[in-house]
Amino acid sequence: MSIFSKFDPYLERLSKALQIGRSPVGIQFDEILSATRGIVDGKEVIMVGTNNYLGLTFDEKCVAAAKAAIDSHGTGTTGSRVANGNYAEHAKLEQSISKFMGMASTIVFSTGYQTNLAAISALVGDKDQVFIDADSHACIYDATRLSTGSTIRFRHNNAEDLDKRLARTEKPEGDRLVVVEGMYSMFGDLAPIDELTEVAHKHGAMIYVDEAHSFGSFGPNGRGLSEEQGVLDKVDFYSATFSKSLASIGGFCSSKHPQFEMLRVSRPYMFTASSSPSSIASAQAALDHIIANKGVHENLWARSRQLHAGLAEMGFDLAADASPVIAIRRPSEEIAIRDFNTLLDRGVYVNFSGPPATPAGISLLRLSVSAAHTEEEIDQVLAVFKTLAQDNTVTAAE
Amino acid sequence: MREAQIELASGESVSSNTQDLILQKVTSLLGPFNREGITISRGTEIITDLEVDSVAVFDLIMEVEDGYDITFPMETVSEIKSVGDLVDTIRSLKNG
Repeated sequence: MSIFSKFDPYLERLSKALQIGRSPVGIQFDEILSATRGIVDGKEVIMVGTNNYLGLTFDEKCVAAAKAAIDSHGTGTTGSRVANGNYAEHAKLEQSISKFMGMASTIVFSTGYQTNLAAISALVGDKDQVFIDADSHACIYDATRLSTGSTIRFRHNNAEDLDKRLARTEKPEGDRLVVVEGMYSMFGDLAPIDELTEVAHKHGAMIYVDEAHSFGSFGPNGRGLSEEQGVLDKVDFYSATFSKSLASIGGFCSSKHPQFEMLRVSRPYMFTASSSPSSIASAQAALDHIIANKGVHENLWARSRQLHAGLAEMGFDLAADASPVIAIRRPSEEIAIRDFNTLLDRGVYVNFSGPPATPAGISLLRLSVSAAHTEEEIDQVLAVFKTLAQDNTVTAAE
Repeated sequence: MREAQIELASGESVSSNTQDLILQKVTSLLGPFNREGITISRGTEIITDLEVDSVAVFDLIMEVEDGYDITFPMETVSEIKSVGDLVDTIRSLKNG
């Protein structure tokens, strides 16, 4: 027995994975050649698992802004926003986001994870209740553990179930918050934010929407699924990350309630260093790019539909309709890891996803499309998947 | 039918009939999670004996909530280790 013995089940799982091939959670990129290409084990691969939805990681203006920020402000802030780490650029980015989102207040945090951790844990206090979707991201679950309120789970993307659970706990002593996401990161399925918002407000609850994966890639102006479903003005709190469509690191939460500014007292805001100047500068440049280019996600959607249709035609078990995240259900973790390695050997990098990150213990090959992918690259990816489908047919027949 | 009285850890006593009915229903709700088909009793440990992960436990709790029209906040779930704990909590929540 030791303090590390609790990790034995994880080590056993890792050991099994390593018997199949490379560990899918320990891949190292030796070089990043572009938004869609990298080098793994000395071999060039097409990356279809990066969440780089708008493909801005090598955008000229974003790179130049990050370099200029290092030259003018240095490599790091070395302090919290409530101390020496509060620069004019942090505030400017908050104002830009508020204006873009049509919100009264925005707070920038150091990561997307910390954004939800800070906002949800601070909003939900003693005697309050928070209702979370069953398939919520780990940061939402962790935020509820950090909060002092009561947490109730409702069935995934099910407004009727939320309605029932809110009704069951009618007239609590405190306030109520409903937390949902836009596009869910594992399956790429979409929340009915319009219905969930209506149900939440019907019961006097506020709604918090995490659009980490849908900000920039949905809505006529890139303001997410809430915009696409016409309810952005009804959303009480809206969070997203800089580490996906904005190709940086950090996160933000905006609110139509000006009192939201009070959340600058939240622990994950106060007790950590602020985002580095280069991260803030590239996020600002990426946001400016989205604002200036209304059709910024057109190619993302064209390539997503191309990839989804091709995989569906080959008979892969796809978890949801076409979206920038395409998940393929595999029969077991062993098969998913084997396929992950086969794809990598053949020049395609995807994500492996399994429990506890996935719902219901499902193992997935998870693909995420980028606006930087060309039609030819997606054709190449599909050609590799075709060989995998043929291998599977042979295996099944044996 | 004559009902026996059971002394709970809290010192309360309840009818064994009520306890048995809850146990029976909980056993039925546990069905989809009991992949090895083990015999369920009050002493059955939910995570270790049924070999379910923490996410599956929360899914089970949703079924229990709907089965009894009660609310089971997530922060209370960590206290429930055995089927007996679950039965006692349901009884307590039903009695308000």
